[in-house]
Order: sequence, then structure tokens, then C-alpha cells
Amino acid sequence: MILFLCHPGDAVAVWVADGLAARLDVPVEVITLDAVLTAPHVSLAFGSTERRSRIELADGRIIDSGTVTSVVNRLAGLPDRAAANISHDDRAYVHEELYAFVLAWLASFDGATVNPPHARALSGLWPDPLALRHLAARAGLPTDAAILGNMKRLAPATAPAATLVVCNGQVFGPSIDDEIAAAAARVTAELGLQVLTVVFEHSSSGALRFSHADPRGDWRIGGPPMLDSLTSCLDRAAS
Amino acid sequence: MIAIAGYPDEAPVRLVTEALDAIGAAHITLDPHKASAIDLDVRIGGSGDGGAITGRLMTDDATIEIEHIKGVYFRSLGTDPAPALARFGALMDVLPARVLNRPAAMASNASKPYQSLAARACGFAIPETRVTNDPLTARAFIEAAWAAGHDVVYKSMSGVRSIVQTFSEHDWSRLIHLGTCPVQFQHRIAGDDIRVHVIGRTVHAARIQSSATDYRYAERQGSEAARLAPIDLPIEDARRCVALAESLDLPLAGIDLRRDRTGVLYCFEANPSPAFSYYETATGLPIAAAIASYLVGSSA
Repeated sequence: MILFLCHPGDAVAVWVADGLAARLDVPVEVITLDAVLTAPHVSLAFGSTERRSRIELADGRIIDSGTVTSVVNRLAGLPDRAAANISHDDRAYVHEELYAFVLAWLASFDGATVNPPHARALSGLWPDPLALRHLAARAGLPTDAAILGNMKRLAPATAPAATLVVCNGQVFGPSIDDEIAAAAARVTAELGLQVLTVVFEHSSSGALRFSHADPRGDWRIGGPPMLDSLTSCLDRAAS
Repeated sequence: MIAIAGYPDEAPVRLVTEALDAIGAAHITLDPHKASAIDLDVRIGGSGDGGAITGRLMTDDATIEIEHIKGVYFRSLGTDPAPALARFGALMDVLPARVLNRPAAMASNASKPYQSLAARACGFAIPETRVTNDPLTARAFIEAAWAAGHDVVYKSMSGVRSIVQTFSEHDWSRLIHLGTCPVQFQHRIAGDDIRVHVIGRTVHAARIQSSATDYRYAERQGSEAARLAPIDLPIEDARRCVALAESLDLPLAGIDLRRDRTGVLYCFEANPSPAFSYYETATGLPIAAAIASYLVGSSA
């Protein structure tokens, strides 16, 4: 089984999961983090000889790490509502504990994870504009100099000039300069991710400029070829 | 130039400062108590200059060029840091220097089970553990552990500091509250604690003997104060410690181990900002000197 993790209302996840299901011989289960966090039975077992997790969801589905061949991660973070029913005094603590649990649970699978989490962010990419801009500049993406402190938070541009999807080292989307495409793939690899959307905006001179990157962007931009690439990535991981 | 971020009167900061003085290394301290006197201008270059980082750091008694900073002992920015200190913190994830430690890497401390799985991957034994929100699963784990002669402890999973507690008969009725949030239960490993400080590839180990469940709180838990002594760690164990620190991207780590009665070495966690002064003062291990040496580039 391929475990496809996302948040409620993620239309991209549904599109990708359907595409994978049509291409692979194994079932693809789309599970929201909310369903995991409200599961009546959660067990993560590990020790020197064992590493296994089992989660029984409220709807009766079971996620057993022994049956999960790979994971596709489109999680952003722990929703604030995760600890909403906890008393105010304990809410922050419970939130930290739930985050610790989810991070460890994601690390408990034997198979490959597409976009593994980073300790600082379940998505694998922490939203630090400085680190991302620095990495983009070093990788060769067209990036302007910036003054730390005046740097805008990297956020979706109102009118992006171009959006690429990097998957499994391949670049999908509108036709773009080869060097920029290669730089986008380098950024993805440096972040330890398999799939990343890289968004550009127009500079004042009309040239493309790096705007932001998001592991949870619109993968549909890559179309069926991107699904083929992701399928091959998961196939390789399973073999 | 070495930058130190932290309160000068806090023991680890004081010891590192003294160690840098001892080897004649120039340093500048960013004291959160004097945040209003600190300013930081940083320019992150664009793709044309490869993202080069330039700028200037100013305190009440010095001004230095950012590119002259070769090492940073990043202990604390204080709570709710002033804007210049917050910018310095953000800079730590990208500054091309030896940073102990970078904030992004320190985040692994937010999940002890996550760290345990990393330790397991490095070849350490880790205690049998259950994380569960199900009272029946917890009960089965505890009863099986007791039947096999193991005590069970419970403790926080996150970086929130908590006192490790041994599960007792009095705790059964509390299991009903598990539904609120999963809790971590773990076999208690009887034996001596070992704290290893990894600094780059340098390893300093201390053995801690205590009858308390959590030696840091021995007296509060009704036990005698812990006894500490320096020890030589077998080379394989030392290599595992370095491998774990490297896998977590922590050139400075305080790794908590315990060797059981049969000689098996268990790993519990890797602290990314260890209060090493407690161990250095009690054992004489030259941890601060190793940190200073690493920061100036004299050791790997």
C-alpha cells in the first residue's frame, strides 16, 4: 500500500493519488493528518529489534507500517486544531507532544518517503525565506540580492510568471531555460526532497526571478508526465 | 573571529569564553541582556555572486565584518529576542562558518522518538518503547515488561523538559487519560548513565552513577546526589556517537547513553545545546576547550 498523506481539501493530493492508482498495482490510501490525530488507536513500537506502527482510524481503516511500501507526504504542519479540545494550560504541551509523535511516526516506515519530513517541518521544508533564497542563489536560480530584515516573507506571488514542478530529478512545466531548470532540480536535491514546485516572478526588467518554492504546490502543473515520473520513483523504491 | 550568542554569566558561555581566551582567539559576545546595543546588517547576495553573505555585526564594544566570523557558539538569544538578535539567529542556518549548532539541526530535539530511530540507525541499542493513546495497548506493554522483570518509565516525547517517572501500580487509573494524547512508555534500563559530549569528531565521556530514575533530579527523587567520573569510551561506541551527531547535523551534541548489566549500550537522546558545564565541573573533562578548538578550526 502507498500511504498518501495530506490535509483535508487537498485537491492536488486527490489528483495525484488517482493518477498513481491508475499506474500502480498497489492500493493508494489517501489519509489526512486530522484522521491520524483523531484515531482511536495509535501504537508506535520500536526497540532494538522492532520498528512498527499501527493506527486504527475512526472510519475503520488501518495503517500498519508492515503493509506500507512507500509514503507520499503532502503535509504542511500540525494543524492548530490538533489540540483545540485541550485545556488552555496544557494545549501548548500537547501540541508539542503530537508533533513529536507525528515526526517519529513518519520516520517509522521502512519504505521510501517522497518528501520526507525535516525535524523542523513536516513538509520537509521550513519556511525560512533567508535559507531558501540563499540556497536558490547558490544553486543558480535567478535571485536578487536581499537585505536581511527587509526581506519579504516568501509567499505565493500574486501573478507568478512561471511555475515548475521538479519530480525525481526531472523538471516539468512551461518551457524554460535549461540552466534554470537544472538549478531548480539542484535546489530540490539539496533540500532532500523528491518533489518541489518552484515559482518565478517577473523582475522589473521582465526577466524571471525566483519567487518561492513549496513542496506542497500544485503538482498538477506537471501533468501526466510528472505522474509517470513519480510512479517510477515509487516503483524503484518498492523494488 | 568567534561569535558567542548567550548570557556571559551562564556557565557554558563563561567556560567557552575562558577557553577561547586561553588559546588567544578573538571573540565577540552577543549578550541578550544588552540587545539594544547590538545591530546587524546583512546582505544576501543574488545568483550573480553565488549568494555571498556580507555585512556587519555591531555590539557596544566592537564592530566586525560578518565574513570574518569563522565560528559561532550559539547558546541562546534569550526569550523573545530583539530584532537584531533574531536576524542573527536566522543567519545561523546559512552562515559559512563553524556553528555550534545551527537552529534547523537543533529541531531534532523536538521529538525524542525521532532521535531514537536515528540512534537505532547508527547501531545503538534503544529501549523497547511504545507510544500509544490506547490504555489497553499501554497496559499490555507494561504487564509484559513487568513479567520480563523490567520496570517501565514514561516521559515526554517532545523537547519540553520533563522528569522521567517510573510507572507504578498507582498509575493504572491514569491510563484512562491516554486518549487525550499519545504517551511514550519505555523499558527502564538499569545501569550506569553515560553522558558523551561530541564536538566535531572529538568525544568526551562521563559515567554517572545514581539510583534515581532521572539522575538530574536525584535528590528531588529521594536519592543521593549523582556521582560523575570521566571514562574512556570504546572506539566503536565513540564512532557511533560521532555518527549519530553527524546524522543529526549536530557538530556539538550531548548524547545520553546507559550501559546495562550485560554491557549493552543504550542511547536515549542527543541534546543539541548541552549544558556541558555540569559535567566539565564534576569531571574535569576539557569540553569547553574542545569547543573552542573546534570553533577556531584547530580540530575536525
